[in-house]
Amino acid sequence: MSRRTSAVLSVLFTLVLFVWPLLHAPSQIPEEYFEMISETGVDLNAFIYQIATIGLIASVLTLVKGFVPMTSYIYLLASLSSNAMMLYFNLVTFSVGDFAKFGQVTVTTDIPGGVNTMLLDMRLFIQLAFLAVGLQVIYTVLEFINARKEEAKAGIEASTPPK
Amino acid sequence: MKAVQVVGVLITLVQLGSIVGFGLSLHTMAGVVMGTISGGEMGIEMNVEEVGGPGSMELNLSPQNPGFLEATATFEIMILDDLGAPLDADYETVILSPGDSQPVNLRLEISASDIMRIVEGMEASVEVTISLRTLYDLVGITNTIKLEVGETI
Repeated sequence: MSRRTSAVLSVLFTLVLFVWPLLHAPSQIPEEYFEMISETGVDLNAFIYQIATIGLIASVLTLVKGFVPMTSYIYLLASLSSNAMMLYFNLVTFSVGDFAKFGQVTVTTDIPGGVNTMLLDMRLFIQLAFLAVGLQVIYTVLEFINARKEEAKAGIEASTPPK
Repeated sequence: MKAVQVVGVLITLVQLGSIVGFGLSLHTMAGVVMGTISGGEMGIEMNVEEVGGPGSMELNLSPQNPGFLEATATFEIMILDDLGAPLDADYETVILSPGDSQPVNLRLEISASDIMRIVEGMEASVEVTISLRTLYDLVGITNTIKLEVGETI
């Protein structure tokens, strides 16, 4: 399968199974659920749109990566941007919409006669996400350097007259 | 093996580790919370021996761990006056191995004068905190329930 076909299929997969359901989810969820969740301090609508937007941007970047040569700086930039989007996705997901919380989420709900406060500590997974994305950046740069070397080698071989 | 391949393997390991760790820790924490709430006896009881005398409040729980990871659970009960100052507090920490269950009994002693203030209408409250840590204490959840004493008695 060519890189272009693979990129188009990957984008279709992301849009149909990930972005489209997320963009239609708010209209399917009853209003009282939104109100109930917003009382806990979580903006569900903003959370859903953030995740869908990340999916859209990631799709565009995947298309760009599929249609430009692996040796171009546009490919490197698109790959590094994809890595950044992956980190942002992890931050938003583990912080339930507010990436600045860095994996520490507080949910407060009113219960009969009192208040229930829940604090989730998921900072470990944010740290692991940083580690994974850091490694992905190294991988992207190494892959880019290798592709440039291969291209230079192929260029030298093509320009050398046969003996 | 090329450097790029080594980095690729490391990325896979970190990502797999994250997914497995997340799944296992979430399963353990949800299991302990559900096991504490639904499993066995659980109740807050307030006793006043004689009119005008001191009182006590007891919280009995039977937390269980149906998960795959060890969990450290801290249970705390506190009675607060109308200004939020603690009148008394008690806590207990238990280490729950997978499949393990341990009884937790917490007791608050309330002085006669504080009982009198509550009876006279002081807006006292009871705070119950369940704090769970798992995956070598790296992941956790803390749940605090604050109830007005009038609702508790």
